[in-house]
Amino acid sequence: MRFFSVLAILWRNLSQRRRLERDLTDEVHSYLQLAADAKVKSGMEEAAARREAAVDLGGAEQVKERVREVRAGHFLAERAQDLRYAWRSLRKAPVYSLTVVLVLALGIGSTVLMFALVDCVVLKGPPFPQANRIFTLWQRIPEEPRVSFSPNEFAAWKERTQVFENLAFVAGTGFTLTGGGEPELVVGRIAPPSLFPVLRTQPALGRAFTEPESNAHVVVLSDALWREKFSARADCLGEAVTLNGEPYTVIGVLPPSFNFEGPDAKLFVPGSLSSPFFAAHPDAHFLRVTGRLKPGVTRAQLDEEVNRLAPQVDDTKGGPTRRYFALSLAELTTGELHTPMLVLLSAVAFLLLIACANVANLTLARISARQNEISIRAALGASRPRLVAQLLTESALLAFIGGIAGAAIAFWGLDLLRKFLVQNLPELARAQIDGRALLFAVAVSTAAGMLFGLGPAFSSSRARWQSALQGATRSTSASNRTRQALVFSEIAIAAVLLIGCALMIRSFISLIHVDPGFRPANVVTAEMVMTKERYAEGPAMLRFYRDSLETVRKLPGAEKVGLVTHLPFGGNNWGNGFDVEDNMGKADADYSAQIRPVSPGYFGAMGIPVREERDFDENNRENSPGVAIVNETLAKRFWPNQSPIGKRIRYDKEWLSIIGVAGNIKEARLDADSDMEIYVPYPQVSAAVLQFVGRDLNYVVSSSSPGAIATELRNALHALDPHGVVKVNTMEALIRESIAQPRFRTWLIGIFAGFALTLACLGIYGVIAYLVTQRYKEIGIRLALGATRANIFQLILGRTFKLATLGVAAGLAGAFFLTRFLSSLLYGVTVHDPLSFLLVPLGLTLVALLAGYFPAHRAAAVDPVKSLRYE
Amino acid sequence: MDKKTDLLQGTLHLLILKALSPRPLHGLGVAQRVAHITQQTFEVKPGSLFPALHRMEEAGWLKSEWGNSENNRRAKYYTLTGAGRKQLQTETTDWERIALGISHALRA
Repeated sequence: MRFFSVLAILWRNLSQRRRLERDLTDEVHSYLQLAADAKVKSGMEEAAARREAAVDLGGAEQVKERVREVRAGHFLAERAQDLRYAWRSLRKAPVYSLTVVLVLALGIGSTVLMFALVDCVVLKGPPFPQANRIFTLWQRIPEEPRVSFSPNEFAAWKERTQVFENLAFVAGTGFTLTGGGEPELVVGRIAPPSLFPVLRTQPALGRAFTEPESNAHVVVLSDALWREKFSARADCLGEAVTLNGEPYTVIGVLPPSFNFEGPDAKLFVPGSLSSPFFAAHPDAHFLRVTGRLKPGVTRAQLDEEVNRLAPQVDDTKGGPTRRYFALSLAELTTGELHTPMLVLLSAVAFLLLIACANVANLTLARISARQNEISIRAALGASRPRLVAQLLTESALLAFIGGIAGAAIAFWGLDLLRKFLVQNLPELARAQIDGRALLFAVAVSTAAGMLFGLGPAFSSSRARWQSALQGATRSTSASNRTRQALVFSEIAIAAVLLIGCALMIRSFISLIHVDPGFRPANVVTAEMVMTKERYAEGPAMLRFYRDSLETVRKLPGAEKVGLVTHLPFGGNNWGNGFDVEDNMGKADADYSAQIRPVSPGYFGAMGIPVREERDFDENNRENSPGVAIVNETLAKRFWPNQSPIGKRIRYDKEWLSIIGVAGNIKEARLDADSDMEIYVPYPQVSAAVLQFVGRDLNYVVSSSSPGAIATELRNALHALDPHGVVKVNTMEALIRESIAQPRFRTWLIGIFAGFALTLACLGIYGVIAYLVTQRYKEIGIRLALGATRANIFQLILGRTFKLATLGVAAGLAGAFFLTRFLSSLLYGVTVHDPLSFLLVPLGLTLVALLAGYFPAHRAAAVDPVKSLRYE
Repeated sequence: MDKKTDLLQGTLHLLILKALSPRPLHGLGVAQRVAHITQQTFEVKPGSLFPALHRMEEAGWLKSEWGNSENNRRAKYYTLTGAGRKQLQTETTDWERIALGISHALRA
């Protein structure tokens, strides 16, 4: 009962405020009249009675305020009142309010955006249940950091494992999807049925393949392929599709969130080690191993098993250089992104700090401009906590609006980023502004509101109201010091960000100036896959190889023409072990190289210099003696002081004589050193191996009119094989794609640093301009006493200079220690790059002086007569 | 405000309840009646009187309505409710116990 009556009163107090207020005013008024009446009755003069009654009352407003204070819900009513007041006073200062909201929105927006990216990459992990229990197995050799497993090794491991509850392999392969329009090349995966239990994921539609279906012709589609090819029809289950000329039945569609080995995995078909394809290549390292740990198994136990099983399963000669290791799925997919993401998040956190400092400064200035108003409120009975609460309410309101605008910016920015992110950085495609990001936005806004609101509110409430009312002080020197300290930190933080940005830009510039070892300009490539159903055997493949090459060579405008199976920067490579005749029997004879079957003319078309002897020619046929061209890295490694010509190596059964040395090239990344490479004539690759690595043909054509040749190339290849899928590209575009990630993060940090610079300049401008206003009178006196305008100009600019250099110096010191965290992201510059550490401070100081120039100029233009009258 | 009422914060409620127990009164009436029944020991100022009246009304001990005073001025009259009478009884008993205790203590 009591509880409800309290609620009823609370409701009355909050909802009928106006009536209550009128009532209270009437009541106090009536008290006054009654008291005066009583005094008149006791013989007092009417006017005197009224005066005395008023004195007895002790101030109607104060009495009313005390009544309000005891009312239930008083606290809430007060907050509501503060809010209304804050809204009114902010609307009266639109420039201030809009600036603050904008600055905060930028700061909060970029922080939330970065959080969403970090959340998706670092915090959430791969999109599978208990993804931290999923691990992948790899081998490492000096030439290649991540080598896959062979069927033999996988089988041996699966048989012996004690820590994995389930182990699966995945092999990538291309499928030609025919039927219903243009034939299309679709990248898919072959995996055993155990893959789905390992990932603990089931198709959203239909089902996954089961153990009895290990070699069946069934297919599970990705969401993307389902939408693209089956227009997202639910009744596509059970339909037949033709893959590589054979009929397959669609049995399931994966959920959209399914992201295993990137978005290019468009379909999954079952495969077992007993299938002819795997059985034919028991030693080829092309199976990526993924497994789920048994409950309770620790990482240490896993590593222990890796060390124990490695010698047992190793089917290579057991060279001491081969190491086995496990990587969690998260480490595998996003491990490389951790550092850049965290660096960028720190960068935006810095930016947000600058934004807060800036807003705090603006707020301080505004509060000192409102000193009179605040003093009047204090004199009218507002208590100090009440005044602080009022000022904090304004900050909270601004932070709230800034937070909403920031969330909007984050939404919009992520959308923008996604547009050019998805193809290049698929790991980030899943990022979204979800509940977690919004919660983060709320937290950041609250923290920001406190950061820029609390300090000014308390420092202002400390000021003496009376003196402010009398106009004696404008601002205390303490608040001036706060202001300058804020600007100092802004400049310091901006300096750190700018140096980081300069390093990234320098690194990016040296990256794009890396010589790839070939000449990418004006080189057009076309990729075509010889499918199994049309080119079943080696001879058929060779025939098409010769015919197509002949056709392409005859194209008008094609200057140099070559062909390669594994195009550099093409996303495909073939690493294989090899033997060197001279080194046979040595203990560490476990080498691996990139092997590229090529046609004659490949080196010329790519512009790769062949330094010794000669290129392949048409005489290197399938039945002529085997030959090879090696790259410089390989030649130097084995024959540092002599010519490798005539030496023999082998990667398959037959020994090959080295007939030439080609220049080193970058293979897939501009910032990685060249592997050892072996080039072999395409026709000399054995039929068995050709089946396996020779189906992907990349025509390389150098031409002075790349645009025209691209079309011709496509048409010519289509004419030769109407069912073939042709993908045309340029070498320049492929290289550009390979540096998408560094470009992305350089842009991002550049944008953040730009914001930081702008904010820091605004801060300097604000403080110096305020200083000038404050010392208006003093400047007038100086001028009147004979100071020249140049003196005044120097005085003000000197102040700016001091502030800027102090901040820059602190920033330099900070950057000196902080840039080491960038080291893994930098290429071709040191973390203490002298140029960046010289130019950024100079530039920043210059910009700061520019920001101080305008107020200084205004100060020098002060009219002494006017300034002395100024109040 | 005045120290007397501040010191005896609890007694202010008791005095107001007592003052209102015979008949409804307006604010000034309550102040005059308290002065009268305490033989001018307590002078209740508006700054304490009105907050107390409003708080007691919210507590459900009083209810108020507008009426006309003897010399025909509009005034807000406070009436004791049932809960108010009960409260008066409890507080009276409490007070008597305390007073008795204190006077025993002082005499000892």
